[in-house]
Amino acid sequence: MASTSDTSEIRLERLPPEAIPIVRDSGGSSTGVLLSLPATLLILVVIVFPFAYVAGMSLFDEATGTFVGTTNFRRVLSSTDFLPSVWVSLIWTISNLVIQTVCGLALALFLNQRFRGRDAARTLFLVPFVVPTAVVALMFSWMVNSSFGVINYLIVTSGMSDMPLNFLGDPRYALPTVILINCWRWIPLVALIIFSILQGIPRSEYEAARVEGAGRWATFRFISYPYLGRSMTAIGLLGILLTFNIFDLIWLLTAGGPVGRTMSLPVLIYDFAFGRQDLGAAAAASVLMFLMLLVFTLLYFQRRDFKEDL
Amino acid sequence: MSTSSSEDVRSRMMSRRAVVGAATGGVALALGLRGADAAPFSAPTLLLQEPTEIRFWHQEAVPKRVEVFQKFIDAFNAENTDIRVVQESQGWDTAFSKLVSALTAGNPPDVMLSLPALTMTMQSRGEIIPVDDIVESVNSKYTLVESQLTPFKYQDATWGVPMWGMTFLLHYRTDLLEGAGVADPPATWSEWLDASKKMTGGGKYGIILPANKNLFTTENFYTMMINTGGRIYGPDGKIAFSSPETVEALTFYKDMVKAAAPPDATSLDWGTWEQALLRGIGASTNGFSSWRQAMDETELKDNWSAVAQPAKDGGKPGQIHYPNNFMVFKQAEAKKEAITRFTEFMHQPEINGEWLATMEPTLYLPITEASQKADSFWSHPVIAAHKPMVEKQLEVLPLGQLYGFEDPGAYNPTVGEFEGSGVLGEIVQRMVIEDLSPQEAADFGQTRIEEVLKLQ
Repeated sequence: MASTSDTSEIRLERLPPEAIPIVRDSGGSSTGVLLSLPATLLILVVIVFPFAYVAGMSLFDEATGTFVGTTNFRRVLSSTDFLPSVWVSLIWTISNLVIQTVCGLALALFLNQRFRGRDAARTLFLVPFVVPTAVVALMFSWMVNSSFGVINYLIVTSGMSDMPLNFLGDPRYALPTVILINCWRWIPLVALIIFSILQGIPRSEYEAARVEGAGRWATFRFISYPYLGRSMTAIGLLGILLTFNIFDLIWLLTAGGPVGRTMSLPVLIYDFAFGRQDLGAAAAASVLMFLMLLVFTLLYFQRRDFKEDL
Repeated sequence: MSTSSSEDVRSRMMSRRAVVGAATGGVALALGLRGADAAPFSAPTLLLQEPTEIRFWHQEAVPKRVEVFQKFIDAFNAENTDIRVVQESQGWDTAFSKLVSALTAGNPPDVMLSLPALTMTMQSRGEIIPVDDIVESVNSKYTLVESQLTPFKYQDATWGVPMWGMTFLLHYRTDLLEGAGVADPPATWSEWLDASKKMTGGGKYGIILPANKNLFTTENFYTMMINTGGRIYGPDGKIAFSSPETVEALTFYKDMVKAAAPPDATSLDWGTWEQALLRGIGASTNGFSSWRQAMDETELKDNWSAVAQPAKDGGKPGQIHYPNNFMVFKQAEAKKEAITRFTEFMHQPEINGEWLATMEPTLYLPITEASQKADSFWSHPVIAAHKPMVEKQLEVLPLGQLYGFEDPGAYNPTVGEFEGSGVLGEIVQRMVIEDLSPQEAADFGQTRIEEVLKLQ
């Protein structure tokens, strides 16, 4: 109820609890359940059931159908491939995260400036993302080919190296090459996401900072970063999970080689299932990977800035 | 009642009759059809009898090959109106995963084009039925090449009907060999290494030889193991990889890769292999001739020739081969008679010859004595243009050998996993990248194969 003791000011006062009318639920909760049923069913069918099936498969010898308990898990954990693949996955994920965040941020800050052709540039940035993965893999594998690839041609003719480099077949270069190709694909999208966040920052704050004499770094540190930080926490979690799970690009470029240097956990799971035809081991490795990501996600949710955003 | 009301009632009655009539007719039709189902010899049934459908899977997903399959399937269906063959194609990369899914769902194809390792895997899982009767029928009419049958005979039965063969030859650039001062193509390993070294230089490589973890490398290395007598499986079914014979093959392979293969040998696949040949970077290759037709569209088309794979000095001649076969799933046992007729049709010499020649000329070879003489095969322009090469392929076909099937009747059910895992390529790759000695590579390979095949 508003009181008007002063015509120039209206004060809103809280109503006492007993004055608040009770609104009876006229079946709204059952309607809500019904409305959410299709989505729930979809999740059950597409996510829950397949996962439960795989978890069950991990406890059986797929070829004979006999129950083997934890045998598949023990085989996976004791294999010479599992721990190296976890390590490759960690390097892959962290490297992608760092490079994409830094480069994406730089690109977004650049896009946040007003310049001619900015809108066209923004559209072009989506091109790497919309090109199908298979095309990206084929394109880059030919570009880095040591016999007829354009990149090696430039490297040799410019004198950077006497011999062409075996980017995808040399254990020193394979993982960095695959990481960079993946970054080429995702940096523009990361930049656009950050750019859209930056666009939400009131221009008046930048102008006030400019008037106060703040430099670029101070402007970024005290204006842009606080806005970005909140959104990036949630986006970061999504990015980590999506990047960790990437299989297609790595498989198409190197199939996990050479000598396992790009054999991430998803690639190893595929190799177990369809290379070695060992579905039990593949299922066990899948469950282990799920548990790892689950633990990570739960720990991530404990972050103070994540809790504050909720 | 007024006239308009009478008309109104009449029209409603008529529309009601129409509805009742349609419903009655529909019920009658449904009952008639149901009756037709229950009474096979009733007139409606004979009119409506469905042909026996054969679901046929194959892995020749290239559009041109799918079209060729369809042409012959249409011809068969037209000639056999009580049977209808329907093809479904997928790539080799996805064939195993799709097959496993289909079997899990209880919906596999009736007959599938396969390879020896996949056929043995399916047999070991109890998914396919013996085809001795079909093989006998084809053999009695057209005489199959024995080496093409060997990989399918085990456990007192025959499990695959060979349909075509594929085999290795050493293909080389005649101009580059001559330019290197080598008078004749190599016939022994020492000549082979020497010629490959001499043809390397000036941006060209003596041989496009892979050292990658893939089937391409598996084939290229195993074909050399054949000449030394190296084996994957021993006669007792245990892994017998680490042996003096295997070390000999590894030594030669490493020498060839280091001396004459491109620097990206450790990442070579079929696509980049073909490109290297078509672009004139490779002076030779030991393998199939899938690239031959594309090469005919380049300036280098007349610069290629082929000989049998050189054998180790004093060693056993021979090379790897892949018979492709039909396998019949147990769910299709009731359709076996129809499948037999389809198989026999595809083996008729002139049909077989035209089918294999048009699908991928020079890659797929006829494997019966009758079809090897078919005019429809030899008259194909590409086959005719490369007649000496194709004759050489047919000449060496009886010497073909395959890992896991070295001994007649050999039964190694893990050979499918061996092939799919690329473990042999992995061993070669590790030897080249980490500069392992051949003995170290052989010892590593023994342990690694046992681990991958769960035989430890």
